[in-house]
Parts: sequence; structure tokens; C-alpha cells
Amino acid sequence: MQTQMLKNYFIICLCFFSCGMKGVFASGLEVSVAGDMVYQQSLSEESDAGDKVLLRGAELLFFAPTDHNFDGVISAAAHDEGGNVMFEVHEMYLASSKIIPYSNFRVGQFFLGIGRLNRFHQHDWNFTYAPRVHRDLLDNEGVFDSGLEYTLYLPTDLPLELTVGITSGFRFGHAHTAGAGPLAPTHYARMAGFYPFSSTNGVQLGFSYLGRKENNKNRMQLIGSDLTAKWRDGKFIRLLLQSEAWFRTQKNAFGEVSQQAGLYLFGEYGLSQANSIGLRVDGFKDLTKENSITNKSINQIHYGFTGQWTFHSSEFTKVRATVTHEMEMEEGVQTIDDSRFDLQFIFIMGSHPAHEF
Amino acid sequence: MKKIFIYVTFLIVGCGSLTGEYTGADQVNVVDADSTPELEVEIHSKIEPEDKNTITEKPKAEVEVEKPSVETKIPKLFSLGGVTAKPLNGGGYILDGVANNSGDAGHAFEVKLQLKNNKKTTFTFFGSKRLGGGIDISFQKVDESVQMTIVHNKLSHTHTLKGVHPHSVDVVIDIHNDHADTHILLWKKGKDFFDNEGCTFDGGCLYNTEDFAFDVWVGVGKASGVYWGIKESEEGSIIQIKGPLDANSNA
Repeated sequence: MQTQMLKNYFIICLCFFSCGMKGVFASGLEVSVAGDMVYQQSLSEESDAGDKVLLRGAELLFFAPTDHNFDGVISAAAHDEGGNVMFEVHEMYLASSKIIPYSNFRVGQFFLGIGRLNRFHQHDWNFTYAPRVHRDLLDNEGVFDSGLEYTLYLPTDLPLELTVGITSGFRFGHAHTAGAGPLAPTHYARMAGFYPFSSTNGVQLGFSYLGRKENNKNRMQLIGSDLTAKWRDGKFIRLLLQSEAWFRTQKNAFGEVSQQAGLYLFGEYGLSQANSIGLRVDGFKDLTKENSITNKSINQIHYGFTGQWTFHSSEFTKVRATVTHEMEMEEGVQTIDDSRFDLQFIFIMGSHPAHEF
Repeated sequence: MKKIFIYVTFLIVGCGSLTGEYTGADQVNVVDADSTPELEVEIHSKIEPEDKNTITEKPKAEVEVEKPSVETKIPKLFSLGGVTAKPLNGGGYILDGVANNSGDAGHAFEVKLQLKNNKKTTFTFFGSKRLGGGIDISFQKVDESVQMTIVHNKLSHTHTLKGVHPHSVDVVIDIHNDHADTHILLWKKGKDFFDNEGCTFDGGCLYNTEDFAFDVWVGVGKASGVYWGIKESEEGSIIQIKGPLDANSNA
């Protein structure tokens, strides 16, 4: 079945490129193909790094206006999971910013419009791997689901936008199967504002909420904030600051409550148009972890430190070298000691949608 | 700037919750027989305060309180298969160790059993403190084979483990409770950790829930808790158990 999936993936690519491309492009269809490869090298005994080149993702993205009212987007990606190649549709939705005034909506399957990283494809991130808080509370890449999302651009002097969404909730995070029908579907909201410092610099601040109730009666609520600030110098970003903080609370059918919180702070300085250096600090804590025998609270904390250098050949090709150290302490004992070096190659062929701020 | 740096340093060093320092979470409380009246009341008094806010107030003098003995304060703990176990009211044991990330995680468990009669040995993984809402995996000797039964969110499947003898059940169980539908894999200990589709049928693993994803485990969902334990067992059947460990498979 895995071989069949790979075959299907390449047949789609082959059909597209061999069958009347001129006619297809004349309709306004844009195609983008993105490749993301990472060479992982462990620097500590306990590292999870595979010491090999990982073909992390190959993504096909099709987007175009379908008519004068709507835009269509389809993206599919192949990922390596433990040596198996998994091919899946990431996004397929119809969107419109023309039907309802001051509004944009999309219906279909898409990455949920919460936070910062979750709204961007992995190959568009400013670093190689997601921080612990994102990996644990959302997913290694991001949470996507099928449903409806609506964004209202508030008629205020300061640009403010409110996004609300409701999705099926059958799946949240990693899934190979259909998932189970929830008792309450996934519902979320994000309020974001943008403050410009100048015509080229500004900061965006957002606050997000997500809730759902699974079929096993586990209720989850997630709240978070995201901040992105950019200072440009001509054509490139001289300084980027990016941060997210998340807090999750869950209550199961037996009334047991668990809470986790985490954040990351990332700063990147552009040395030139082609080179930038960055530093990220992550923190994550399970606030309610308990010893099962004594029922006493376990003192646990996770830290991550990432230093990186990125070579921007253009907006279509980047090479990024990263050194990461992640550590976890639990009751005075170090339970995680993961140091690694990663060399990431990202390339995009064809068109690419304009990036959000 | 210097003052801010010093302040943050003291905050981090002085704030134990940000350093993960040892706080004695694994220490079992032994209460002295000469404990304070308030503590004695808290444990043995039959007073039911109307208002929860008054629970710390001293009781009325006419209430007689039995002075507790030290033995009644120490919970009875056992070692089962090398893991500390605490008995639960109503039967069964909760085992030492909890899952990460409030159960939204993948872990491995090693189970070594010797099954002699037909009684089931049932483990619960990712359950509540009372081992409810978890994944129950039972092993039972049937003739000269081992039958495994998995019960999860009202769905169940019984499967004979090929090549496993009841006198020597030595398996590794991966439970990925961070998937939309919990993904469970079993291997014989010492085998490579294959997790490709069909690994149950091509001999790469003893069992893989994804091999039965479209008939048995449709929409099963996830388990609810972080604890693991034993619901029932044949006496002397548990030789060695370990968990929760890092998951062996990334699938």
C-alpha cells in the first residue's frame, strides 16, 4: 500500500507536467513544489538524531482563482515516518475574500488558523524543528482538520482581525487513521493586531484559543499568544523576533486534570541579504505530573537551545545549519540530553503564494 | 541590564520549579503516631463539615478520635516484576511511572510472563488513577498458545500470538497514544521493530492495530489517562515488567 501511495504521488506529478501545461497555466493555475531535506547528526549518546539524510517532506501545492469569487488551494505532501513514506493531503479548500465585506472565509481542510507556526507550512518556518511546546501540544508539523474558518477584519484604525473556526475534530495531531467522532468538535479563535513602526517594520501580536472534547470524554482547552516583529533593511529582514506561549488544560472522564505550559523565544539577525544567524530558547513544563505511588507532584522542566546560521540563496532556496541542545530535568535527574547538528536544505520550484507577515 | 541579568539568574536558581530539582516526589510519607490533632482528625474523623472551608478547624472536644498507628499510615507497596506496585481498593495494582504529556505520548512497555493455568493476566496502560479509561491488554494461556485480548474504548480484539509459548511470554509493547486512534504494536523481545503495514502477517511483529484499522479499530480514539497497572493476574505469572519507556517505533 505504501508503494501504491508513492506511485500515485508520482503519477499525479507526471500527469500534470506532461498533459497540456500551456492550457493549464493559461487558466491562472499556479504550482509550487517544495522539498525539505535534513541531514541529522547526533552529538550526544542519547540523541534521537538518525545520523542520516532525512527526506523530511516533499510538498505539491496548487492554487488559483476558480472564478471571480473564489480561490482554490490543494496541497499534498509526502513525509518520511520511521522509514515509511506517508503521502497525504494537507490542505484542500475553497476560499473567498470577495463575498462577505471585510471578511475572508475558507471551507475544506486546512491548517488551523491559530498561533504562528501552525499557520505556516513547515518548509516556510524560520527554523528547522518545532519547539517542544509546539510538538507536544499541537504536532511536529501542525494541526490540520476539515471544517470552516472565517476571518473578520475589524474596521478599526489599528488593523485587527478576528478568526474563528470550527472543524470536525475527528483528528487532532498525528493520524494515520480516520479518528473518532468527538463529543464536541474542534473550535478555535484567534484575535490578532498589527502595529507598524514604519512602512517596512512592524509587530503582530495574536491570542488564540482552542477547545474540543474527544469521544473518550477528555476535554481539552488550549490558549496561546504569538508575537512576530520584523525590522527590514532594504530587501532583507535585519531583525526578526518571534515567540509563542501556550497553556493546555485537559480533564478526563474521571475528573483528573492535567496542565502543561511552554514557550519559545526566537531571534534572527540578518548579517546580509544572503546570511542570517538565529537563536531560539524553548521551555516546557508539565505542571501536574504526579508520582503514581505517592501521588506527589513531580518537578519536571524541559529546556531547548538552538543556534543556527541560514544561507538565503534566494526566497526559493535556503541552507540552514543548526546546533540544538535539549535537556529535561525531573526530580533532580536528567532524563533527556539530546545534542545534535542538522543541515537543512529547502527549495521551492515554481510559484509560491505571498507570505503573510 | 546587569541588574536584570542578576535578577533573572537568582529567579531561575532560586525557583526550584524552573530547575527540576529533587522535591521528594518518590518519598512515601511516614506519619508519626504523635501527630497533631488536626492531622489525626483529617484522616480518621467521621465529621462531615457542611462547609469545606471549615475542614481545617479543630473538631469539638466531645468527638473521640482514634490515635492512628504508624503501620496504618504506610501504604502497602509491593514489587511486581521489578516495579513498585500499590494495591487499589477493589483489586488490582497501580504501577510506578506515569506517561508524559498528560498521556498524549508514545511509550514502550516490556512484559515477561510465565502463564501456567488459564487465568488472565491483564495490564492497563494510559488509564486513570483507578485504571479506568485505559487500554487493557490481557494475556491468557489457551492450550499451548497465548491469546492476547485488547480492550480499548469499548472495542476489543482477541489475537493468538504466533510463536509465543505460554511458559515464556517475553514481549515489547509500543503504545502511541499521541495518534488520533491509539496505535499499538507488539514484538517479541529481541526482534527488530518493524512497523510497516502488514507486519502482523509477514512476521515482522506479533500485532499491529493498524493492520486491523478498517475493521476492528475503526474510530477507537485515544486512552484517557497517564497511569499503568495490573487489573488481574495469575499468581506468580509476572516475571519482569518495565515501563513507561521511550517508544521503539516512530510510526
